Amino acid sequence: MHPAQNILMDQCRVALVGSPNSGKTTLYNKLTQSNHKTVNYPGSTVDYHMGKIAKTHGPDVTLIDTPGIYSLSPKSSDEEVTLKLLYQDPAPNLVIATVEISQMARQLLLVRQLIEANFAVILAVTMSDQIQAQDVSLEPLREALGVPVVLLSSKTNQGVSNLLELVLKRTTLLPTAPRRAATWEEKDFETYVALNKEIVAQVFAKGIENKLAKTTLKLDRVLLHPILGSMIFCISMFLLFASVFWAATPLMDLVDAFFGYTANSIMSLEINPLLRDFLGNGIVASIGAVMVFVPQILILFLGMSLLESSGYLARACTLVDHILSRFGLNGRSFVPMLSGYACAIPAMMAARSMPSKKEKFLTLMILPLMSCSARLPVYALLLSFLFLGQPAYKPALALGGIYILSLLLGLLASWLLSIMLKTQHTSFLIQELPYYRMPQARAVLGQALSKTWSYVTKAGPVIFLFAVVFWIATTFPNTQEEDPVLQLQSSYAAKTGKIFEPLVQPMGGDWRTGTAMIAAFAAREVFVSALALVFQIADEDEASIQKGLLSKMETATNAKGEKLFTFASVMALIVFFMIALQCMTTVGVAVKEFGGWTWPLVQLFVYTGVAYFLSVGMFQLLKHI
Amino acid sequence: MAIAQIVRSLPLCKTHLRPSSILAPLMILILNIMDMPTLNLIGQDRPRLIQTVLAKPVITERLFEMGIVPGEMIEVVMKSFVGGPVIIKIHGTHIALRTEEAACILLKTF
Repeated sequence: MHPAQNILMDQCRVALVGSPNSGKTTLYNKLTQSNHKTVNYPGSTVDYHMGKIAKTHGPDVTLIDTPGIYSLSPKSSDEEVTLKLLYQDPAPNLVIATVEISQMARQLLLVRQLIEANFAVILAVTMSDQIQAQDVSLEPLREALGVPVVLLSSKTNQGVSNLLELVLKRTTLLPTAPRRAATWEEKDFETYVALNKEIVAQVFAKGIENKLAKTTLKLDRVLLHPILGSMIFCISMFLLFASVFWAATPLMDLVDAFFGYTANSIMSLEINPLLRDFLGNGIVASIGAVMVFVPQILILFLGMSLLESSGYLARACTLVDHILSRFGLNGRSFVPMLSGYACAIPAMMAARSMPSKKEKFLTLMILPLMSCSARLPVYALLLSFLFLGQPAYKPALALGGIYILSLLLGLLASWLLSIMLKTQHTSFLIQELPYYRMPQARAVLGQALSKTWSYVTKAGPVIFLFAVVFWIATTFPNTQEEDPVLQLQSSYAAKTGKIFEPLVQPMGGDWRTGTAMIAAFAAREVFVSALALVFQIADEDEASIQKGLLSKMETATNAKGEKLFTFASVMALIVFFMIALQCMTTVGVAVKEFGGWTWPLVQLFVYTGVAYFLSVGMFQLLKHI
Repeated sequence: MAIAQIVRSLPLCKTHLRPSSILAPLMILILNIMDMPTLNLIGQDRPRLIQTVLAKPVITERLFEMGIVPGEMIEVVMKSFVGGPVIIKIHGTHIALRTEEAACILLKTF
């Protein structure tokens, strides 16, 4: 309403702080009435989120959702985010400390540290729907800690208005200057855990039955079983990726056909030919290039949030830890790596929850090798060219092979790097396994949508901009030329492409492939739309962009009259796209996550260099077959 | 039998024990002889009492923060293949630990 107020620093700020998986984000969504992701995986919030508390009256209150911490001495960079927020100037006026009702004995340790550090604390006991409210007495908690306590059930909204009232009453408080919490000795932990257990015993004086714990125990005996558990893990991963391909294909075809149709309708309009070409070939084709892989990314994120919110993802990390640790990684690398199959950008952010600096570094290093969904349109095009007119299972199998190969490449890179970097580091896996819960459809969908949306908004504009620049480069300066082929050959793009032609020729391309490959450095999927542009397919009377492109690719010849797209040159392109780091948005995020330019540039040049030499080798090897 | 177990746990001690406590491996040896095993060596039979945690400071602290402190009952829920993680139960929660971390947790027998 008053945008100026948002920048005022003197408004009331309330921080939500608590152990991982203690219900902070659920509470945040309740209080701000936003639809932020909530998942059942420790460490799923890696950055803080701010929002206005939704209410009918009173002053503006900003609520901050923070990554979970176990104590005030951080061990990973997502925990540092919370600590920085707590100790920045001005400090938050108020801290809502969340504690899950069944985990109080452990999680109250953090609350004690917060109180000791002089923060104004309101204790929120969450997820009380696990038990009957009348069986719990909060008095012992209030007495022992000396802070207001609220019992919350986010499912039934119980206690939310109560908490809101408490917060509003305290907004007049000045920010309290926090002290550094005294570092606890080992004895302190022992004493406080014992004290917490006494309190818990009083809170549940009537006795409770924890059904979730019972089902969790039963399920873990199966899902974490050495043999059975590994089998279930493999099957669930297979199902996840299979559904990404099979369920997404019809949706992708639909999106593709829609944009192909729109481009064609624009091309048949009776307007200025330059404007018509800009709209059809420039704008619509570029938007199409961004949108066509959205179904895929959405389905992978849907599957992931389903696994996350059920509590299985934390188990999956445990199951793969032993294998990943052989390559210098950690079980916790699993979540970033899996996200990497959708997009490297959220994946790099997910790596923040890794405690060991070296393992986090290795994970960040290999993430660009994971076969992200932006490569998919490229593979889809190249594979359907290779297997033109053959049964559909063949390209699907080849694609599966590419995915597995990219995982193996990543492991190889990590292993090589871990040998080269002989730094001492403490590696550990102390992974909390949350109770299994029934995933909530709304939350799962909301999370998948928000991740997909953040991808579209982060990578979309860059891709779009490059595509428009690319259109200009292919159209100008010779706009008066009637013959599109001649116009293209005298364009800026062709001139640039011809400079790079000697580089591309050893891998079986000519200036047109070269131009498309340069364009792909904005984002990989631009390769497809760039090819579409250099081959002028929107002029064709074809149902979809892809079909038009395929028929053009079949007949394309280079200057010597040889076929441009052969088995060898397409294989060389696939190899190049598997390894090269071609996504400038990823480099940008990597600079932030590595905390400097050195390693992102190493990634950019080493991966692209290796990709180039391997693909040249591939072409030279295969061209005589 | 006890000797074999000690030999198996010795390399683990080296990776995770506090460098300052040179006596730590010796202590584990004595504790094992006295039938006070480390967490990685016990089976899924019954809950046991934690005697002490002998690990590098950062790991000790993380274990403590998660409520794995001396004097608490701890139970093995599931063990994976040799060398893989151990799933333990403490305060009603399941936590996965690597064998190396589990080897730092000394137990009382009773």
